[in-house]
Amino acid sequence: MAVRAVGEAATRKQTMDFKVLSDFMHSPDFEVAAFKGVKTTFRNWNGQLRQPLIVTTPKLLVSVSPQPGFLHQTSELDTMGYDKPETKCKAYTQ
Amino acid sequence: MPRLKPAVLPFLAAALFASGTPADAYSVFVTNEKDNSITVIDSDTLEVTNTFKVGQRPRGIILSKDGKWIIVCTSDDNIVQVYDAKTHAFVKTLPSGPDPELHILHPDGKILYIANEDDNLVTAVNIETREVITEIPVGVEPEGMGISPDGKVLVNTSETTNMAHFIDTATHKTFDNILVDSRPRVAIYNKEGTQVWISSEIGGTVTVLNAADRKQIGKINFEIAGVAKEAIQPVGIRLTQDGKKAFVALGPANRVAVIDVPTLKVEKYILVGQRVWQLYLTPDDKKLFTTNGASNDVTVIDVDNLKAIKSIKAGRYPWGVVISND
Repeated sequence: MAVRAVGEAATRKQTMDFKVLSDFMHSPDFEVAAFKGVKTTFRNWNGQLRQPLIVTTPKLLVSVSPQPGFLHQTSELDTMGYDKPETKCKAYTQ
Repeated sequence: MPRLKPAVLPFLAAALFASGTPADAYSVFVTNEKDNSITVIDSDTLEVTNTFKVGQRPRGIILSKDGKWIIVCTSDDNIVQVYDAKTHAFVKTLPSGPDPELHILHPDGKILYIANEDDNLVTAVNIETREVITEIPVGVEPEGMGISPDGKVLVNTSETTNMAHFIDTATHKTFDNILVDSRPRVAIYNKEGTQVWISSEIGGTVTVLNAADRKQIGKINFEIAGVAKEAIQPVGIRLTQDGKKAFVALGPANRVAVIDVPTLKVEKYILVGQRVWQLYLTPDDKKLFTTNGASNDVTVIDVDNLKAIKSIKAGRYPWGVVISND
């Protein structure tokens, strides 16, 4: 996934410059097609990857989250995990 | 004339109407990805006339040039199957390479180009002799297949490389690769061969390229009040023969966008079934049929009035659709 993200950024920006690629990958314009038809993006406030989660038993696929009906103002993938207002992560603010 | 009992008359009238088949009754063939079957719908009565079993995971479906065969990618059988368009009897298989998804026929009607999703190849097969002519390496997860009306240029889109690969059909070599928005699914030429339309499922856009120099003419964005941007996933594209309108299936947005071709502006969104993937116009451009994978039905759109007129139950996960010429 990390390699795909770097590859995608380099293909779009046509550069090897670290800052340009890093800034682009953290911007709202960046997206990677890593989960069938769902776009995965990075949370620009803590660097986490927004991605769907497969809910399974050892033998059976049960469901894919985010669950339908849980709405969010920016991305339904942000209905999972700690969202921006709740996070205590300081990695991107220090 | 013998006198008929009044109760018989309505039946007689119905029989008369049924025998006079209108000229615009085409057969609509829908592949059901999960049911391993094809649903056949009469375009006039909008009733299901037959359902028949095919190979595993049928997806892309096209007609042979003479209209006699239905050619289906049965992805999980790693083969292409051929069925008789009239009798629905199995005719033969064609070698396809692994996981065939979408395919397109050269205008000469002989060479079939098949996108092999798992193998990053486009396979070219002679449909009469069953001979594999060549395998053309392309990007990762090839899917969309378009061919210029003169048959000289084949366009393949790769879902993971995010490119449209332009292939010279004389040499079977790629001569241009155009980066488009994420996860390109479908490529289609306009009737004149001057434009190539490419849908990007995750990018949420349709890119229109000038066929001659592969430069972008325009990009279509979609916005629907009350629908999350992530749910707008453009896949199937069809253009009317007069070149005025284009229809784009928007996946889980459950809508088909109507585009004014000269201005590339969205005119309207038509609500259809759930997760609409592919669509096809009747040869007279009067009706549009869409495959709705999550609601297991087909929506019929009246093209003149731009209104959905009926939902028809198909099998499970309707995926591809094609319509006969007569």
